[in-house]
Amino acid sequence: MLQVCLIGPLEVRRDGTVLAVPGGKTAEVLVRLALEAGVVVRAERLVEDLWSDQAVHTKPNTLQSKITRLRRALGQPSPVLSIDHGYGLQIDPAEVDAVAVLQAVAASARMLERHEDRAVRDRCATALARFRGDILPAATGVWAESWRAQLEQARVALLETGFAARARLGEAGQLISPLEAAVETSPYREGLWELLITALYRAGRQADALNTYQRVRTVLGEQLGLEPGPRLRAIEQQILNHDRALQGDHQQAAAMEIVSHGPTSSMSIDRPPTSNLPTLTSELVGRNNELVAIGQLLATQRLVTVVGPGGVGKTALAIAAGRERHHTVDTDTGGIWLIRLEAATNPGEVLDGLIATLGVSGAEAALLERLRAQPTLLILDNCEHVVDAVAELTTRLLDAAPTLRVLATSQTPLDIDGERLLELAPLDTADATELFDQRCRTHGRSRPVESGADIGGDIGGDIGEDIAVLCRALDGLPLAIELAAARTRTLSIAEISRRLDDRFNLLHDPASRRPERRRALRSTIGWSYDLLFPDDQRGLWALSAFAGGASLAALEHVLAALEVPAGSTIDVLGRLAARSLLVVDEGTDGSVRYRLLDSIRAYAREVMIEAGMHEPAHAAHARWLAMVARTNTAGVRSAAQAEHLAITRAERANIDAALAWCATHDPPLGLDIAVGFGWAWIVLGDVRGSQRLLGALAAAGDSVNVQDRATALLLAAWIDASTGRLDAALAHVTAAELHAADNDHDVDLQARCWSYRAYIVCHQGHWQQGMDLTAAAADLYDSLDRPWDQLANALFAARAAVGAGDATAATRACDSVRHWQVRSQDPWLSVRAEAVFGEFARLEHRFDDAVAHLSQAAATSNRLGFRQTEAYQLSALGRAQCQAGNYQQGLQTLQLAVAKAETIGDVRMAALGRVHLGRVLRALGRDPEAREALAAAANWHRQAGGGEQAALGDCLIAAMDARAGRPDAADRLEVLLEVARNTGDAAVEVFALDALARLATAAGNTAAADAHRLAADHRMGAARHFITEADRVDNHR
Amino acid sequence: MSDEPTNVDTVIRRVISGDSSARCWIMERADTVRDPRLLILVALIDRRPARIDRALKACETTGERQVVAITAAHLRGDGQLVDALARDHLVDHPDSVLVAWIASGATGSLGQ
Repeated sequence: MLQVCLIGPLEVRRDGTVLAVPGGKTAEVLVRLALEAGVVVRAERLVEDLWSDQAVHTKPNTLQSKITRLRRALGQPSPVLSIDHGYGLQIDPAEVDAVAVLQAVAASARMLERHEDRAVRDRCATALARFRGDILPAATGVWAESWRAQLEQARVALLETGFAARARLGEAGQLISPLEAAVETSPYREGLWELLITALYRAGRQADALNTYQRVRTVLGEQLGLEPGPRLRAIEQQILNHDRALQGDHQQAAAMEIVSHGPTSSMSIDRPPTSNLPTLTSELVGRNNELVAIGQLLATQRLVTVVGPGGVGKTALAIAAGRERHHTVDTDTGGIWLIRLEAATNPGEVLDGLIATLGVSGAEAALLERLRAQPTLLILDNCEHVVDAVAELTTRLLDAAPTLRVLATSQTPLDIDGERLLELAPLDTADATELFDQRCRTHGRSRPVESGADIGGDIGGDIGEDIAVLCRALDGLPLAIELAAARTRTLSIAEISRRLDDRFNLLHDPASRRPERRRALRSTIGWSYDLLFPDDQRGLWALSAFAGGASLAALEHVLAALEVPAGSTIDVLGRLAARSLLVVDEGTDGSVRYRLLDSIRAYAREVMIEAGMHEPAHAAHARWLAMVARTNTAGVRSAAQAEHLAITRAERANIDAALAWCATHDPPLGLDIAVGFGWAWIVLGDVRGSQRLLGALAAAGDSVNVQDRATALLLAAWIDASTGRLDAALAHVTAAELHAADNDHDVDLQARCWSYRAYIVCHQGHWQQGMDLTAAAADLYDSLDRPWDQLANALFAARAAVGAGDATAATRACDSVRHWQVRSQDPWLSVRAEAVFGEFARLEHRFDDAVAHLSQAAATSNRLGFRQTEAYQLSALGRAQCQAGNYQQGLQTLQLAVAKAETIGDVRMAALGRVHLGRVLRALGRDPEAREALAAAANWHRQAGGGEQAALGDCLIAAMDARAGRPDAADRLEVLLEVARNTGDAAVEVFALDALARLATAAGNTAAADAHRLAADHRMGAARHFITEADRVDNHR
Repeated sequence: MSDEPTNVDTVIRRVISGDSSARCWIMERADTVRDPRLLILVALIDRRPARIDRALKACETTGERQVVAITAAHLRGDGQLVDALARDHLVDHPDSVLVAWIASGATGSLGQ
């Protein structure tokens, strides 16, 4: 077999042996023929190409002589054929590297379209490996130029296609450097820019992504006079809109896979992020031993607390330890999570911090469920001011979740059983000096060289000893060292030392009981603070008013109240950051927030209070949140939903702080805030929302108007209902209805009351009541212009009708949903509408349609990040797939639904999913697994006092017990049958009757068995939209 | 010199260089000028806190507000703070003649 390599030094092999080919025109003839492998090229054409400048004088025998030499070099039988006044090279085109590369370009592009990403990645890599050096170096004629250009284009195309495939495969983070290099060499290739921008975005570098867009815009504009193409512009818009679609095909694909194939093993990769650990902005200095010690302790212990004074570097060490573990230990499948507790003031806020960080939907029970499900490491940071609350919660968590590990940082131990302490000492002088040096470099100044040197002085002579003395004076506390180093831009070491000495002497109080180190840190913070401009000092005050960091806009608002103009805010933040007094957090969505370290925040609060500016700052903070709240509900119900939900998530701690302040200073404002964020809490599944609303309402007393009061009650009712607290929910709606009754002219309020009550009674299975209420609400809404409310109400109506099995009412309600959907851009409602259409299709026994709708709904929920909704829809999809005849696929979907519910700690949903899972497993003959799933569901239902399909789960267990010969099974089935008859639960009736029929048959009571079977068959008519004949394991006659 | 000079820098330089006519000119207009740098100059000559408040209100940029802060520290006699703030300010505004002058301690001649 002949192989010819033209890209790089000419290389010819025949059956693996390298052949020596003469250079010059002989080699060029080979290149020319190889590029058109298997094709006869006319002799005149060859002469024209190879001897272009003297073609007319070149005799045919010159070409002939080169051919002869080539034939001699290539051996016998000769692959160089002479046909019809021309020559051809007899070779498989794929064995000519240049031809193979060109083929690979077209093939990989087609494969990419077919989403064969792994194959594309490999094919492109193989093709690119053929580029061993210069292209066609053996061809010197002009004819070769077009081939060179073509092959260079092919190389870039292969790069681009390969990058695209790798990006889809989730390798975006690894592509940034090679893409940077690629756009450098191919700056006009917009596809490469698109990939680079997308890769930066997916790596959480949104600002860089937008800057890169500006770069390509400049390049195209200045060099070609062109604007970026529509795809690049669209990507920029997606970034600005934080469009989740830009997050990556591999994530979306996993969700979309359900649509066509049902969940597969690849769905397992579709998990939320497993860590929120920030990248350390600077290298950790001198903590290697401690890092190793923490790693070893966490290998064997479940609770490790890093104890030490403020500013000693506990947080940085804990984050570094977490990152180290993340890279070296793969057992924490539940992730490693940093929970900052510096803003928490009570046990509820500690719990909130954990729930929000882990993205759990629910309260403590949900958190426990989530932690039980997967081994997880929690890093609880800054525990000292809520140490009792943390200790109690940690004890409960460790008791409930055997695979949980906790790494805490605190100035005092948690003091609970099993805690292992690691006391973090200050840095020794060598490490402290190294840290000082490093930070000096960070602040743009090399190590100061002369103690007395002025700014920028470079006189010579080492001042290592002066720095060492300074670091010792700062007690080796990293934070104090950072603050001092941040001043080296304008002060010499001698000046820093002298000024600090003065301050230490001034503050030295032999009678003080405060530990020396704490005084050193406080003095250093105070020293750094005193050297600030007044605006910058106020910047610290403003930041200290925020509990969970602040956005630029929020700070502008509070700073304005402190008499610093908005235009100065960004300068203030820049200077504070340059002096190491401020932490800048960049979120994965590109948002930037500003935060103070705990010690600095405490100091800033003290001086703000001393200055008498505490009240104006906190009032402005609350007013800011009220302002955001005012547009939040409308925003969450619009196409800009994701943005408003992100704000609500980010401001959680600030909202709590503002509500606490308002409770004693401005209760009506507090209610405005709670009501404004209420709907967002519903969409986010934030169960504490109800508590916040009711707390704000209680604080406001009689000072609020009926509308606000009723709205708060209705929102709280919804949240309580969605978490299973149905009695509380009904009580809130009843209270709201009383307000509505007092204001009979308020049609909108009355309609909302009925609609919300419908939502709650549907949770109780009171479908007919739900239908009546939604019909009444719809009548009232008809007199108002409330398209969103109409749509929500129509969805409740459809759900109630489907639940009741009323196809006529369901048709009407679904038509109404479609009607109002046109006027809504709310993604959350839209995905619910899709699910309702699926449920309706199931009711009509159009199971394939049901699968299609529910697949679409689940995939969209996945893409939009509605994790709770997704779990619910997957559960419905799994059932529909079974009804469509595919039990194996249905089983996989239900297992996925349960796993997703566990991941978000939605115990109610997990229990519901397990009931269906148990039913399907039983139908598949996998009784032990069925019993396990049903028992887990029953266990939760017992604890919760019931739940959706609890009776079905109990019935299936009783049926299995009956089959196993347990004596009490028959009585339990009778009781369940009786209850089911009263509530109209046809599915339970069918299962109970089938099981009783089986028992009667076994007992020889044929008449009773026949009667039960007849009754079961009769009731199956009403249950067919819910279960199938395959589920009736006891009816297999 | 007109009532509102077109070149504030010139006025500042003339006052710094000890031009008594420039000093008189600015003090005659102490209650009417609006440029923050001139108001700072007035405060330095007059040494009255109210002048500082007025200068601060007239400021439009962060840099101007910094000069007011430095002036206020100077008038309080807090030399160490003036020194530190002036160094910070001059890093970003190396051409700030007024701050360099205040930091040099040469303003003492103003009141004479």
